[in-house]
Amino acid sequence: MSHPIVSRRGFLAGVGALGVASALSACATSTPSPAAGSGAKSTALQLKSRETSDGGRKAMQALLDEFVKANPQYKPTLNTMEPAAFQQQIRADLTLATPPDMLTWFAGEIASNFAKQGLLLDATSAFPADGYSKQFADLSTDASGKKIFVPTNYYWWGMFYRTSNFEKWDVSEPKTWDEFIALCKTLKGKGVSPIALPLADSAWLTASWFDYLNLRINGATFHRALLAGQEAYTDPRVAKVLDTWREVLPYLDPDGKGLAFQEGSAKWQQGKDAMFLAGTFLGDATPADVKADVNFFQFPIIDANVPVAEEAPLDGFIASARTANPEGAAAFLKYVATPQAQELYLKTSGSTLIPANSNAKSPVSTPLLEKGRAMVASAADVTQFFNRDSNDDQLNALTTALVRFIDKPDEAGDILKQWQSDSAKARGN
Amino acid sequence: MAAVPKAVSRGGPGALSVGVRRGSRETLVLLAFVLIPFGLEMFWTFWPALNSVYISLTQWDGIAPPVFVGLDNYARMWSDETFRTALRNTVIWLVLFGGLSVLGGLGLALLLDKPRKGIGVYRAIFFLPVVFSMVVTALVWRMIFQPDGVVNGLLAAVGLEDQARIWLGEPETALYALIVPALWRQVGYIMVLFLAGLKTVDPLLHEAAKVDGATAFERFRHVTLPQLRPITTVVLAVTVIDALRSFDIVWALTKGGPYHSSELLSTYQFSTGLLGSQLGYGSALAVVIFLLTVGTIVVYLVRSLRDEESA
Repeated sequence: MSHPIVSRRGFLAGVGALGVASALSACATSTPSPAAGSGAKSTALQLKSRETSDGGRKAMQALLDEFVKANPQYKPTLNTMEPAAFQQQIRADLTLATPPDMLTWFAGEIASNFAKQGLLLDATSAFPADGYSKQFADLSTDASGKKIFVPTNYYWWGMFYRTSNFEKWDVSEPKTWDEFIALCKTLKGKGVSPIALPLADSAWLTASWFDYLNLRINGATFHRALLAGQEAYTDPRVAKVLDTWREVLPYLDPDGKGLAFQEGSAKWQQGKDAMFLAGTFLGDATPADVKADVNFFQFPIIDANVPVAEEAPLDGFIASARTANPEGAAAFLKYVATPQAQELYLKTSGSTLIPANSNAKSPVSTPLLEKGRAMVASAADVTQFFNRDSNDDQLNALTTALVRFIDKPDEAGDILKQWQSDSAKARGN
Repeated sequence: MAAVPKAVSRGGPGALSVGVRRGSRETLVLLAFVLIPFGLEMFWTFWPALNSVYISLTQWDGIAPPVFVGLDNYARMWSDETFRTALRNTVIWLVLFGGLSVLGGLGLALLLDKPRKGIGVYRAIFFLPVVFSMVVTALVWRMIFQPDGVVNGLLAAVGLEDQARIWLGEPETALYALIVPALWRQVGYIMVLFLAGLKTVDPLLHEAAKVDGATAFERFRHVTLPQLRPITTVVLAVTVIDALRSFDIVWALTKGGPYHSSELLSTYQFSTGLLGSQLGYGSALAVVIFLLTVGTIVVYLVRSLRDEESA
C-alpha cells in the first residue's frame, strides 16, 4: 500500500473504542417510551391477525368492513401473518413506537404479562357490562382490575373420532378411564391403532395429554399452581400423572413420532388411527363430506372426586398501549365484543368455534358444536392450554420431558428432575 | 491497484507536482473505498454483534429493561445438559459432515476430472442438489425417512424389516439421519471447488512422475495434493463455516428433537433466544458459536499460512 493513511495500531485502537462504546450504550436493549399525547390525530388503524386460513382472513376483513360502516372516520387495514411468526414478533410489535393498533391474541398468562409491563391498552370502556360469563370476564382482566382483552370466541378439546368408524368397529364412547383403557384394548385387538399422536412437527400436542391428565387427577387448582412455578414437577402428584399416562403408551400409534400433524390427521381421518386428542381445528381441516361424521367424547374421568375442568382456549383481541389512535382501537374492541360482530365472524370463517358473548348465537349450529358447548358449559373450571396458561419456554421444557417419556417411560424419575430444572431455568430467563 | 503505481512512477520533471496532486486525490478515493465499506460493515455487522455480546451479559425477555447479570449466562451453560448435547452434536456434525464432504467432494472431483464423453452430465448430476433450496431438500428427505418411506421400504425389500426405524423420530438415529441430506448437498459443492483446483495442476509434473515410475497413488499423494493446497485452504474454511452454521436442514426436519437429541448449537440458540423469550441466554449461545467459528478458522488459517511461508 503506497498511502498508509491509518496506521494498523491506530486502526485497531479505533475498532476497540467503537466496540466499547457500543457495548456500553447497548442501544439494542432500550425500549422506546410510549409516545405521550402525540400531536395530530391519526385515522389509520391497523389490525394484525394470525388467522391465515381463507375463511379466517375473509372473516377478519368482514369485521373491518362492518366496523367502518358504523365508524366512517377510521381507515382500518388488515395485516395477516403466519401464526408462528406472529407469535415470535408480538413482543417486538408491542414495543414499537408505531405499533399495529389491534392484534389477535388469546387469554392467559402471556396477555397478563404484557399488561403488567404496560403494553396493552385499557379496554375497560370497550368491555360490555353483560354478555360475558364471570370466567371470561376474569380471564380478560389484569392484576390491577383493568380489562385488557376482549374475547370473541373459543373452542374446546376432546377425544375426536369418526362416528361411522366406531359403528363399524362396534364400540362406543367411554366415560371413565377404565372404560377408555378397555376400549383401546378392544380396538388394538381388532387390528386398529387406537390413538393418534403425531410428533414430528407438533410435539406440543403432548401438552394436551399432560393438561387433561393433570386436571383429571390433581384438579385445576394444582394445575395452575404447577404452571405458575409454585409447585414442582418433581412432586409425587406429577409422577402419578406420568404413571397413569403410561397405561396408554402401548396404544399410541408407534409411527406417530415420525409423522407430521398433517400426516397424522390424515391417518386418523382414514380410520387407521381411531382417536385423536385434539381441538376442534382437527375436524375443521377435514373435507366437507367427512365433517358430519366427526364426533368427540369428553376426556375420560379418572377420579370422580376431582371437579371436572375442560380446556377451552379463548381467542380475541388486544390493543397496543402505544397506538397513535386509542379512541379508534377502543371503538374496534367495543365492536368485536358485540353479538352481531361475533356472529358475523363465525358465519364468514365457517370454523367450529363458539362465540364468547353468550348473547351471540352460533350461526351454523351442528350437533358437534352443541355437544362441545354443553361440555364446556357444564365444566366446573376452564383452562386455556399449557402454553397459554404459562408460556412458550415452559412448553419447550414440557415437550422435551414428555417426548422422552413416551420413548423411555422407565426414566420417569430422571425426566421429572430434568423438567423441573429446565422449567426453573426458563423462569429465571 | 495496478493503475496506482503506474501513475505515480511515471517520471519526468513537471509531472512530479501533477503526481502529488493526483496522489492526494487518489488518497481520498482510496480512503473512501476503505472507509465506506468499513462503515457499512461496522453498522450492519459489528454493531449488532457487539450488542449481542452485551445482551449475553444480561437477563432479558425482550420487553422489560434488561438486568445485567455478568457472566451468569455463561456459567449456566456448564450445568445445562441440553447445551452439552448441542455442543457434542455440533462437534460430531463438524467431524462427520465436514470430513465426509471434503473426502467425498475430493473423490468425486478426481473421478470426474478427466475429460470424457458425457462428463458434464455426471458433474451436473452431483452438483444438482446444491441448486435446490434447503427447504425443498428437507421436504424430499422427510418423505424418504418417513415410517413407511423409501428407506424402510428398501430395507423391507431386501428382507431387513427388523432394521426399519423411524429415522428422524428416534434419538439414536436422528442426528445421523440429518447428516445424510446435508452431505448429499455439500458433496457436490465441494466437488466443484476441487474441480476448479484440479485445473491448476500441471499435467507435465504428472508426465514426469509417470516416467520416473510413480504409481497412481504416489502421484496423487506427491503431485496432486501439494498443488491443491491453496484450494484446500478455501475448502476447509468453507466447510467449517458451513458445518457450524448448519441450521436449515435440522430445523426443517426435526427442530432439534426428539428431546434435543439432534440439537445443534445453532438450533438451540434459535429456539431459546428467538422462539422463546430468553434473549440473554440465547445471545450467550450465539457468542459461543461465533467464538467457535472464528477460533477454528483463525487457528487453521494461521497454520496454513505459516506452512506456506516455510514451504
